[in-house]
Amino acid sequence: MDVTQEQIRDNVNTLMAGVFQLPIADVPADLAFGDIPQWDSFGHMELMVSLEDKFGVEISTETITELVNIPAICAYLEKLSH
Amino acid sequence: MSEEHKPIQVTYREVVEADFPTIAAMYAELNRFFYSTGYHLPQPEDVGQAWLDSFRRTLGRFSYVLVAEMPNDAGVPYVIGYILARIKRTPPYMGGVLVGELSDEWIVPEARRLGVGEKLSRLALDWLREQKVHSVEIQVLNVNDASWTLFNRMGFQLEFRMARLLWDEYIENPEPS
Repeated sequence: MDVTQEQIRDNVNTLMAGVFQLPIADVPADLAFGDIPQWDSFGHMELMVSLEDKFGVEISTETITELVNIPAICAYLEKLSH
Repeated sequence: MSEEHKPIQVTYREVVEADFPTIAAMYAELNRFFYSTGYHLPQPEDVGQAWLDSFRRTLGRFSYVLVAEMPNDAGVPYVIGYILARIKRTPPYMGGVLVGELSDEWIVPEARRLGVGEKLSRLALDWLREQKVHSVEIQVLNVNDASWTLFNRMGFQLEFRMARLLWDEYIENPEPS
């Protein structure tokens, strides 16, 4: 079953809020690497592990370097869901 | 070969959860050493646990801890040291690549000068190379000449110096140089 874009965005927002310990309301749609202190060089790797666990994927090294904002993460997950 | 000349058998393996209290205690020792050399950041209360929490979530995927063991007098192996290797992503303005970092290496005093630190470092580098990181970084305390000598001998090159300004030591009007 395909997951809707809205469901993916909701899931990503929830995951972001959990990983970076933010209220969901404080997760902007375009949040990017470096926008908040928590999303730094190591925070990024924690986020990648959480994405892998949540969505059951193994993210390649190349993709890890590209998933640097919420739109890119959502686009990647949408592509996987089809 | 006489007992006193018998070589000490050191073995190396990946950390398991049962090691966490031991390596957290070792990190606390290392952290105390930092402060004994003039490190100035605030000291957390449960520093060993805070340190574990900082990489536990990514352990086995983007972070890796190796421990060294040697037998005690009864022949039972016990942990004599560890090293932490982590992978991070540099910001886009610094290349946007995956970089490895070796940090927080500690060897108990009775096991120093046996080459354990170098072996742990090289095994951790092997893991980082398998992860295809662009390069590997280390931070060495300014007073730790022995550690720097080791890493320099392994090929690490100094790129920049890190320093800290404390406001009560701020010199606003220095003498002209």
